[in-house]
Amino acid sequence: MAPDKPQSKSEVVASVEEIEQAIAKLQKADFVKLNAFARNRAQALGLRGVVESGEDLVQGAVRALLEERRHWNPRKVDFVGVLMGAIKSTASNLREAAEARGFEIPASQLVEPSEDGKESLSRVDLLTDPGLNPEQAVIASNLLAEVQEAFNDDPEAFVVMDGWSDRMSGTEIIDALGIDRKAYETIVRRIRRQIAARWPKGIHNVR
Amino acid sequence: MSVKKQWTVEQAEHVLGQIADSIEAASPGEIEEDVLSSGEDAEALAAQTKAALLAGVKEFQQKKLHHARQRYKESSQRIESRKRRIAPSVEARRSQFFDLLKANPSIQSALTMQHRDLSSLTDGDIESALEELDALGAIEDLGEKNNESES
Repeated sequence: MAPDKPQSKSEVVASVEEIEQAIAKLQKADFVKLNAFARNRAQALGLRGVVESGEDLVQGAVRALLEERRHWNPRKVDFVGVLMGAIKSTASNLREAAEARGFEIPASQLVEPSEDGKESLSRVDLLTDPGLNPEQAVIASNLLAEVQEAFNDDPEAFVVMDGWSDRMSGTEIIDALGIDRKAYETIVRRIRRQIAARWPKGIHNVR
Repeated sequence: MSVKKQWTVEQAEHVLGQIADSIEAASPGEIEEDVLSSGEDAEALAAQTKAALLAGVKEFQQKKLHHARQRYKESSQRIESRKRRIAPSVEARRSQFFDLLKANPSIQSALTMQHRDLSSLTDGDIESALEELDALGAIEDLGEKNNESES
């Protein structure tokens, strides 16, 4: 049995003691992985104008477990796994809520697009997106321009991301590009690193 | 090669979703390497995340404590108001009891069936009966009736 699994007989709902023990048994790399995942979900929420930090999502995941809104079957998933599941579910609920109500962005966060002549994403597409209000469209336009700029020097990474954006699977992208899985995974890792390095606090903080 | 393509927000969400999947599938060590290679402080990130986890536990405990205090306060208030509704002395309780029976003939007949002679009820029986009647709301109803007849 993995060291971070609780000993509860029911193995369904975790107690405070079990959660505290599981936290105490996590290694540095486990915390870092959890952080990376939570940050990624916070970045995605930023695209919808939801300002939620990775730490907020982590904190909420523990609460969800303790409040029995999430169940944990340690035979199926370890502690980091169950927390990632809770984060995913919370982020998905927040996204749906944001989509349903629209969102308000403080004026200070509204940034005019750069006029330095660089190729940028069309705001027309965003402005006509039925899921976005005009403020959202401006924010999203700037965010996406930033993402594009971040991968200016890495066309392979951009091709893979474009494949993802078209809902292509890893295997389909590998076939389309004529590369092997190892090469694909290397590109994926570069994308992960670039996103993490570029937006350490989350994509919604892009200026 | 031209790689510039215009994404919608939904497409960008899908890209980030794929990255999330790759984080989920990677080993913790691999993600730690990512973080180190991007120049971030893995120690600090780990400490922040641990603090967030512990803050979640603390928040839950405080909420639980708050609820327990709230429940205690509510039940204390219930007991207090019940005490106020039931008369304080033996004689007053006996008279309150018979007033209640007078106002509620159905209760009186039910009790007569049980005890035959209501005057033989002990002080303890009367106090328990009043508590039960109070729980049923009969004392409050009697108070309202009295208020109506006074006004």
